[in-house]
Formats: sequence, C-alpha cells, structure tokens
Amino acid sequence: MNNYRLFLTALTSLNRHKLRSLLTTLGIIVGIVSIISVMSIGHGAKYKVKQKIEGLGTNFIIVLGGSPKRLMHSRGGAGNLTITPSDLNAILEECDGITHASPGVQRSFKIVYEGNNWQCLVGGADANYLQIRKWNLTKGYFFTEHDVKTGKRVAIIGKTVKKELFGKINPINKTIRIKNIPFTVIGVLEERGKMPNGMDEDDLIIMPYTTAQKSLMGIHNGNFTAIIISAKKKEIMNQTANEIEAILRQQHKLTPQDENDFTVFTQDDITQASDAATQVLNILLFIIASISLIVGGIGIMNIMLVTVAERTKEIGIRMALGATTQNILIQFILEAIVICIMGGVVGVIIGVLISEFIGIILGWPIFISIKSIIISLISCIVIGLFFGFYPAKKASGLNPVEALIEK
Amino acid sequence: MSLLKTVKLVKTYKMGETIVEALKGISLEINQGEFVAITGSSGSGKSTLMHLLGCLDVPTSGQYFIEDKDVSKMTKNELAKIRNQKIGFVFQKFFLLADLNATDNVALPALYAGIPENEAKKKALSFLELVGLKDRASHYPYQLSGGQQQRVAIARSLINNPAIIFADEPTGNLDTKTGDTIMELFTNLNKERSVTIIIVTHEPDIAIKTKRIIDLIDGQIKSDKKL
Repeated sequence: MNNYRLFLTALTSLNRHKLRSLLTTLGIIVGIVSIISVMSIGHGAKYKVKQKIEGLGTNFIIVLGGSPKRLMHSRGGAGNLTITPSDLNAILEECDGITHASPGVQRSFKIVYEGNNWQCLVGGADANYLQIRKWNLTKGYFFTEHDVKTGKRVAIIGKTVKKELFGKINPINKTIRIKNIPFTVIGVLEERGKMPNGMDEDDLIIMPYTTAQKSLMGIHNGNFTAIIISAKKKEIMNQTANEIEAILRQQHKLTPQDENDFTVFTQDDITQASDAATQVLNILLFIIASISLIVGGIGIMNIMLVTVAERTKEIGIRMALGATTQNILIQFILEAIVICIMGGVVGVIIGVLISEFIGIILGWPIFISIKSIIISLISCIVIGLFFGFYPAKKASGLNPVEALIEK
Repeated sequence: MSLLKTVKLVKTYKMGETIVEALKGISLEINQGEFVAITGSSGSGKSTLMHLLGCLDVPTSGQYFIEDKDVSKMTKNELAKIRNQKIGFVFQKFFLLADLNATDNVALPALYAGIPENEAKKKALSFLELVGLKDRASHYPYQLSGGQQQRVAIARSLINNPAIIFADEPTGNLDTKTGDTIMELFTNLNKERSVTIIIVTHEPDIAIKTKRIIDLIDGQIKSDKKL
C-alpha cells in the first residue's frame, strides 16, 4: 500500500470527525501562532530598537559622571556632577577621533506657559547638540555658540512639550517659565518617538548648558553630569571610548586599584545590552511556544488513542485482509502528522495575520521570515511523529482476532 | 498434497483463573477445490478453529500446514502475508470499510499486496462484475443492501486469487432468499473456479449445500462426512 493512499485514508478519517479534528488541532494552532508571531514581532522589535540606537547620534559615545555601579542604582542613570570643564578640554585636546563633543546637564522641571504647565526633562547642551544627536528642527533655529557663551535664556522644545503646552499655537518666540524664570522658545525638535525603554524622546527641552547650569540648576563650578561625543568613524568608536577612559582616569587621578568614577558607553555597548535583553525575552517566548506545542501534542496523543480504540474493528478488518503491523503503524502515524500539519498551516496563517495586525497597531515593521514558517511546519511533523507513535504502536500491536470480535 | 492440514491443534484461553480449552486436538485435512462446512453449536469451537485456519490467531500447541508450510511457527508479518495472498475472508457482518466505496473496498487486499492502484481498481471492477455488482461499483456500503454488501465482501475475498475462502456465518445476517443466492454464488465459485471454500455455520440448511460437513462438539471433531 503506497503512502499516497495512506495519506488519503488519513484525510478521509479526519474528514469524518471534523469538529474533533478541529479541536485536536487547536493546541497545535496556538503553539504555531505563538512561534510565528513571537519570531516576526521579535524581529520587528529588534529592528526598531536598532533604529532607535542608531538614532542616538552619529557614532555616539556618552560619558556619565559616577561609577557604573552607582549609575545602575540611580534613577534614569542621569549621572553625577563629577565631570569638569577641564575633563572636556583634555578629551578634546588629546583625543583625535572626535568630531563633536558637548557637555550635558539635565534635570526635571515644571514648565509653565500661560495657564498650562507640564513637567519634563530640561537638558543643557552645547551648540553642536543637533549634529551629535543626528537630530533636526521642524521650526525655528538652534542656539548658537554665542548664546552658550552669554548664557542666553532660550529653549528648544520637543514635540510632546509643544503639544502639551501650546497645542496648535506656534511656539516660536513665545515665553515659557521655569522656576519663574522666562525663556524664549526659538526652535521645535523633529519628532523622534519612544525609546525602546518606553521613554518619550520628544518630552524634552534643550537649552544652552551654561544657562541651565547657572539660571536653573545652581551649578557654579561649571561641572556637568555628562559629555556626549560624536566619533569620526564607526570603526574607531570603541577605541576612542577607551582613549577617553584613559584620559579621564588620569584627569581624576585614579590609581590602578581605583574603579572608574565615571562611565563610558558607546552605541555598540547599548546595542549589545539591548540584544541581550531581546535574547532573554525571545528565549522566554520560545519556551512558552514550545510548552503550548507539547501540550498540543499531548492533546493529539489523547485523541489518537480514542481514535484507535474506536476503530479497533477497522484495524481488525484491515489485518484480516493482509495489512502488516507496519501498514497500520504508518496509517495512524500519518494521521497524527496530517492533523499536526493542518494545525500548523492554520497556525501559520493566523500567526501571520496577528503579526501584521500587531505591527499596524504598534507601528512596527513586521518581518515574517520563511525560516519561522519552515521551523513551524517541521515542528508540526516532529510532534505528529512523536505523539502519534504511541497510539499507532498500540493500534498495530492489536491481535487480529480480538480486534475483529470487538463489539 | 493437501491444501490444509492440522495435527492435534489445541487452543486454550485463560479466563481469569480458569483455563478454557476451546480446541482439544483437532486433526484434519482439506484438499484443493473442496467445499466444506464446519458446523457446531455455539461454544463448540468452530469460530476458534476458523480463526486458526484463517491465520488470524496462533495455536497453543499442535501444527498447521498450508501447502505443506508450517504456519504455526510464523511471525506476525508472515501471517499477514499468508492472509493477504492465500486466504480470503467473508464475515457474517460483511465488515466492509464504511469510508470506502465498493470498488475501493474490493481493491484493499490488492493494495496491501503492493499492486499499483490503477491495476487494483481494474481488478476490483472485474470481480464486482463476477458477483453481479458492476453497476454498484461506486456505491458506499450504506447505499447497498445486506445481500449486495455480502457480494462486495465476496469480491474482496477473491481479488488476490486466494487458495482458500473462509466464510464465517456468511448468511447469518441475511434473509433466507438472499442467503440462498449467496450460497449459490459460493457453489458456483467452487464449481467453476475450483476455489476451496470453508463455511462456518450453525445452520444445517446451509451446511447441507456444501460437499463435506465437519461437525464440532466441545472442541473436538464429532463427525466428518462427505456428502
């Protein structure tokens, strides 16, 4: 008896119990849907995160005040005020691989415009901030080096701040108040969206760091919490970071036994950290998908055992007509595999639809990989084979006489 | 050379603590072309004997030869092959597969024999024609009367040109008239194609239509008469 005929036999018997076959495949469908959506959404998320990290700036390096350990415990990793202007000068003088560097200070303040107020992050930076962050303005202009030198009270606002404070009003040349000090809005930043950690990048005000230090934060020693840097080339980004580390250790007079009292991150470090986080998430989701597939497989084994019990007489008849143990074994294994593959195909279709739908909702690009579809269908066959084997073995081991006289 | 030969065939079953001796040493010979009835009341062991002769079961002791080959020592798969090639079965309740139409039911043993699908179907059609059911070839069992279903079963039993056909109460589920036509069919098959036919029945009216009656009582042969 050829396999095509056995395949048709499997289809016929599944067709006879449509509802049962459907219910049996549900477990498999759920498992495959989760594999497909996890893989495609995970892929999309990774792409989105990568895009965001690239969006941090051009060959971006950031130096934060405070040891890595300390930063881990401080909220938001804002950094301590331990970076001095002479640190910045030393870096600029001794390090060749840098195109731009800007000091950074930041703190959260309440911003008032007429009757509206809004709490957001206020950052102080240098005039080259936009180049380092690879960012643009949609309206107005950025502050100049002269503005920085003179500590001019001007502010660049993010999209979210604009929306909350101004609504549809043009904010340019309007006056906002922070700690009751007036600042003139001179520019609006292009929309960036949310960071992978959920932080809204557009919920931000940028002003000259000198203004922020003196007028708002009461910093009189000129120290910063951070330096943001743009390296000349991607290839030398990590090397430059190492050089900066060496310069700062010298500047801060650290002995070889001392830990860094600052932290240097490159774009690569952030990419690696986020990859590691995605990896953990993927493993977790993969485990969940595997569990649902195994549960689905057990469901199939259950139903196949019922099917074998129900069809004892048919098995007896087939044996009387000359079916060998292998014929019966293959017939029932094939039936289990066919159920699994049907569940798999339905699961792939639903999984693709769900992924596309989630992609539309989140505004993420969704990549449905052929790999995930192939993996899904292969796991279906493996599950059918594995969980169908025991019931099929039981069927093929029946004694012909006992099977025939079964009531 | 005899077609079938048994030597002191014994079959015992364990039912709980007690051991039931269904067959207590049956020795018989059946030759090519015979038309035999195995009779006996229920519990006489006639069904057990048919299961052993039909290679559906193995004896507890004794020997069984088909065409001088010792069947009692064969493996499961060797027995499956013997059933497929040498033996055809006709059952009281027809035992057609409900999902298959008449042609596919008849073709099934040929498919198990490894005959290609097209050829098997062609063969199946010719045997359906032989039993007078050519016009019912694509009907499913539920669309056929009892007599027609039994004819399909007979066509199925013939498809691999077996040496022996075992029929277990073949008329038991049919009315007398239909039963008679089925018996006629067997008689003709025996006469015209010299197929060896062994009918297991408890009805004397059926047994009398054969040429030899082996009567069993309590697992032993009570009488063996040629008519």
